[in-house]
Amino acid sequence: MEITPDAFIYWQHGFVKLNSTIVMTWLNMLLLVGFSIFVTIGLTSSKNLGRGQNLMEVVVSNIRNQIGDMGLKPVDEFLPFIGTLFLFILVPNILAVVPGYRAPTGSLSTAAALAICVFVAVPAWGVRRRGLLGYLKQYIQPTPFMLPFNIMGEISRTLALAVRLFGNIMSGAMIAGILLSIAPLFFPVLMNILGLITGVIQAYIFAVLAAVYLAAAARLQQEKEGNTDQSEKQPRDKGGISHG
Amino acid sequence: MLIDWFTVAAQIVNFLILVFLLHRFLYRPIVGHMTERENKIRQRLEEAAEKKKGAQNLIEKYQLKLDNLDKETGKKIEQAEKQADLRKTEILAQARKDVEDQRAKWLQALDKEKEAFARKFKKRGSQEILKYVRRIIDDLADEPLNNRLTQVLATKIENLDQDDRKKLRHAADTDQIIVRSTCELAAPEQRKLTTIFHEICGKDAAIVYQIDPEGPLGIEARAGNIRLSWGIENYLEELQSRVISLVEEKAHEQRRGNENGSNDKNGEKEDKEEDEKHS
Repeated sequence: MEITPDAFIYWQHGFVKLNSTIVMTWLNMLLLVGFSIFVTIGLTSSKNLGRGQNLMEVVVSNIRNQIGDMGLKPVDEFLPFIGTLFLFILVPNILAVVPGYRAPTGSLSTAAALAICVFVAVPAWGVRRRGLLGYLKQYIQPTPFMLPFNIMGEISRTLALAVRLFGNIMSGAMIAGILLSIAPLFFPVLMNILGLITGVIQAYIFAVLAAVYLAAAARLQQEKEGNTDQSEKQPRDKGGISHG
Repeated sequence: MLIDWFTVAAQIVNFLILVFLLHRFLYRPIVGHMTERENKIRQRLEEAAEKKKGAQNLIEKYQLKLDNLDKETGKKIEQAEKQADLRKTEILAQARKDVEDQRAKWLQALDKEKEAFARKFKKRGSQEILKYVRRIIDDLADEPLNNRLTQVLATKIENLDQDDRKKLRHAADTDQIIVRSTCELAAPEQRKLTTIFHEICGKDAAIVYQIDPEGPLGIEARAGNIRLSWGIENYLEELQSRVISLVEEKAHEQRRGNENGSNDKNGEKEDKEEDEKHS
């Protein structure tokens, strides 16, 4: 029994191959983009909203609220990355209940790809917000002695992201498969329901963790900006008092 | 091996493409429209706030107008009440005047009626009394009334003193003696009277007998400015004066009774007004 959809290869030419993971991902992308285009064609800012627009507005506004709660500002700068991570994981996890559908998130390659994206995005935003030196300086905080541990922490948390997603989704599919062979009547349905819950939670966890990492990289800069704002205000106040 | 690095690379590319596509087709339009709607809502709220402010100003303005209107209404009502009181006083005065006029007319009419009644009574009474007196005299004397009248006149002439006899004689010389009676005197009575006059005035004296059936019962002899008479008229006049005084007395009592009644009513009204004032 194969535990990863990567093993289902439809077409291969040397190194290049078209397996189930890639095809299902394309299908997901087609669904997401198609539905988005379908909804945004009839967008309106009046009070009579369509059902699709209402649904997408609820989804988008909730993602924005979550990003805002993490302390990431401006929200719309992080929305495409975090939001797409959430939807990229959520849609296949929900579609996993469809018979014959192999969720690409159950592939360690997909989880690794997403983790690598987060792994790259965190320093990218950190450098963008705080500059290269400023970002690298956090690896020797509080002492340079902590440098290897900080690097290890960075790598291990990325690995953990990938393995957590892969393990949960793959295990869900595996348990359903095993139970199907043991008790084919009733239990697989329950496990599929459980799998739905797990899938949604995993999508949420992955997106929220990515947001937390990004926030950790960008927050120091924000705190610093806050401090500089306060330090700029203080002498002005003092001056005001002395003049007074 | 669980990780296929080509798939990893392909999924990274897929993810980045999806980020771009969703940004292009989902996030940007949805967020744009949400922002637009928020702006619209904010704008509407601001408009609503402005309209509310305008409405508040309008309310204050109309409240002021209403207050002024209330004050004016109060003034007008007060004015109308004053006018109504004035009008009431005028109408009451007019009514009192009308009542007084009516009363005066009524009293006048009563007086007229009283006079007419008295006149009628006098006439009728005299006729009745004449009738009864005649019958009484007839019954008592058992002789015609003319005899009694003649007898009374004869007695009066005979009782004349010398001066009066002289005056009568002089008057009879220049003028004729007219004897006027209510009933025609019988021939013996005429003769009797003629004899008496001839004795006093001489046989040349002219004596004329006249009848006045419309006049009151009595007999009269006139010569120039000498007049000898007896009649029931004096008695009738006395009777009339008594009847009139009786009628006036009764009318006076009635008027007094009316006045007392109206005074009582006025008194009751005044009492009521005083009670109302006290309450």
